[in-house]
Amino acid sequence: MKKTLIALTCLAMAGPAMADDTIKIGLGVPMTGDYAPYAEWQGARCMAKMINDKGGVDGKMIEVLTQDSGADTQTAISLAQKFLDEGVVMLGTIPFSDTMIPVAQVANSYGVSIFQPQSTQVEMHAGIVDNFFTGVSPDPFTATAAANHALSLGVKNVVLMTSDEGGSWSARTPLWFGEVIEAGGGKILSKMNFSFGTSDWSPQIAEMKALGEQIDGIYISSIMPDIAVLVRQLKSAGIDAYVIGSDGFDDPSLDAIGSEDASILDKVFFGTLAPSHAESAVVKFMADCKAMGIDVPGLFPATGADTVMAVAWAVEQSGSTDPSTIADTIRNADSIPVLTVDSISFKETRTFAQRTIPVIGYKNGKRVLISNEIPKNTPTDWN
Amino acid sequence: MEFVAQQIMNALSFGAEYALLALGLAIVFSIMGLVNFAHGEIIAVGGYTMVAMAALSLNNPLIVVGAAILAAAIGAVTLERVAFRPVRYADPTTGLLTAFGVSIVLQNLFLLLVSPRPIAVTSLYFLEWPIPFVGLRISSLQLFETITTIIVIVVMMLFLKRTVLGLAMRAAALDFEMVRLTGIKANRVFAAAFLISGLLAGIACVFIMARRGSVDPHLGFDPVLMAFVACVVGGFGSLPGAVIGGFLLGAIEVAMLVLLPQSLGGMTEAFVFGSIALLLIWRPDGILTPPREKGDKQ
Repeated sequence: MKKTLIALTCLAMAGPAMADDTIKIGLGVPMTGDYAPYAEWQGARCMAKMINDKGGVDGKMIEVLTQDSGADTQTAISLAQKFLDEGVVMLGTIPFSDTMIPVAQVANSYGVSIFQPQSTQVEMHAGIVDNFFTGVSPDPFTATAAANHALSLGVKNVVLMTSDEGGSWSARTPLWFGEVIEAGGGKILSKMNFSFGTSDWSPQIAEMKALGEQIDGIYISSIMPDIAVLVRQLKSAGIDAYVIGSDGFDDPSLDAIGSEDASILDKVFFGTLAPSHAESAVVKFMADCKAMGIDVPGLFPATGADTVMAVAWAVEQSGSTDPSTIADTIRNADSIPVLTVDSISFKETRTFAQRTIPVIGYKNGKRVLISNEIPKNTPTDWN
Repeated sequence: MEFVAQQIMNALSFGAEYALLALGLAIVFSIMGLVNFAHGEIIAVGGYTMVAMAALSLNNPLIVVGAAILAAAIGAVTLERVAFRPVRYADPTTGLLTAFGVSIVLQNLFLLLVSPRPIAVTSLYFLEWPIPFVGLRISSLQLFETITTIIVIVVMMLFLKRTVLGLAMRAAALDFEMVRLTGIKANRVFAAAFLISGLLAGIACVFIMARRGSVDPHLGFDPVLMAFVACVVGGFGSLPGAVIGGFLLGAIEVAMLVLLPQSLGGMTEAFVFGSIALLLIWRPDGILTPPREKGDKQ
């Protein structure tokens, strides 16, 4: 009995010491199922390895704990609880508010926050919880950046494609785009509905043709491969309008439709999370990871690196591995260096990253960075 | 008028795709009583075969199309042998769960072994170009798909009515035990049903891939759910019913897309399935109930 007590005491004493030597980040994130393409764990693991190979943060190694949540909120909550019990200083989870909010509520009693590097939905910022960070700016910013570029191209008459299936991302983002276009002197010709998984846009295209007016731009916040089908069918139907969108366009399979005829992408551009053209930090990071034997296939997986960099920076700045101190350091910083853009800041925004919004277009079938600024005329009505 | 004609063409095209998929489900169900939800993954097998062909620089369209259809057919027959044969005489619920299990396993194999993201396949883009027709601008792909579906229906009718195996399959749909008593091997009939189902999945895959231009692990799942609905509407187990159900579903879907005001846009699927619910209240067993359901057997 005495020996057992001594052993337990030793273990209890060793526990915090071991925790102090390791900075644990818990990612209960989709590795399978519908949301698997988000794959932030891949970029996070690669960045952790890069930092650890250079000696870690003040001698402390970063450990990224990953486990598959699928697309299931309850699984994500269970995983969050498990990681919290293992002493993580930051959590990652499914990038949608219906999961992020309950996970944040569980983490709150531990003083732990969530860092989600991909979530752009405005719902998270309604004030229900505050122990979280979204590493990107919400959708009104990407919509505005795209609208500003559209206006600079002389786009006036637009058609907005909306869907309730992706929450505000697919339902409201087109409307914010339209708001900026109208403020810039443009006109919304029509709003049309769509569903995710659409592989034939012919009914909507027939409606566009029936409008009988010149369409300058069509805005849609949707996913691949639906967007590629839309771009091809519009061209085939003879509608010569810009196809404008959000981060859902940011997938290598969109670039592939220009492999036979690069001109098909000439009138496509989108506001997105981070520059992902050939010379960007993201593309270089993906190549470096590949050389290390870690596959990071695209911008979305690469954003996981931002989580690790933000936590590492906060530990280094504060000299502490206490989760609350790390969160406070991140929230009050003027500038935090991350991978996907030069820096981010939560000082004024509190829960989402203030950062530049790149607009990506195509030239000869290759991605080009058109602009990369923080839009000043972003709509403020997010409800 | 042009607008209406264009939307009718769209409805025919939507319906043709659903009909092709529904036939694949119906032929297996009519004989085995199995709703094969893994049919969608057979379509994805065809899609990933196209990716493999591109990786091997085999971009000849005939080779790509042929390989995809062949792979889907082999995939379907393999599933019958490996997954469904062992549960052939089990409770129908076991078969249904097996189908879901196979579907989930295959989806996650694609996801883990290939990629969770869409992979572009551009080798079938040439199938789509605009065809001017009396003031309309018809998509060649829509035309091909509708014509192919009609040809497939005719060929299937001839096969089922004019060949011994076809007759055996029709008989098996009514009374399988009697077919076995006449000396026809059960394995052959089941394998033939899955082979035809796989061929239909392969043909559907060609059109889906030509339109989408990429494959992902969930390529076939949603279309097969719609095909399942088409089968229910048409009368499950009835091959003509599957075709009618497919075309009807396509027509309802296009009509709702076009007719519903923007403010009700989020309710499109609700209205589609609401219409189907009304239809099923009128015909609870579907439009063309198979003879077996009318008491031919018992």
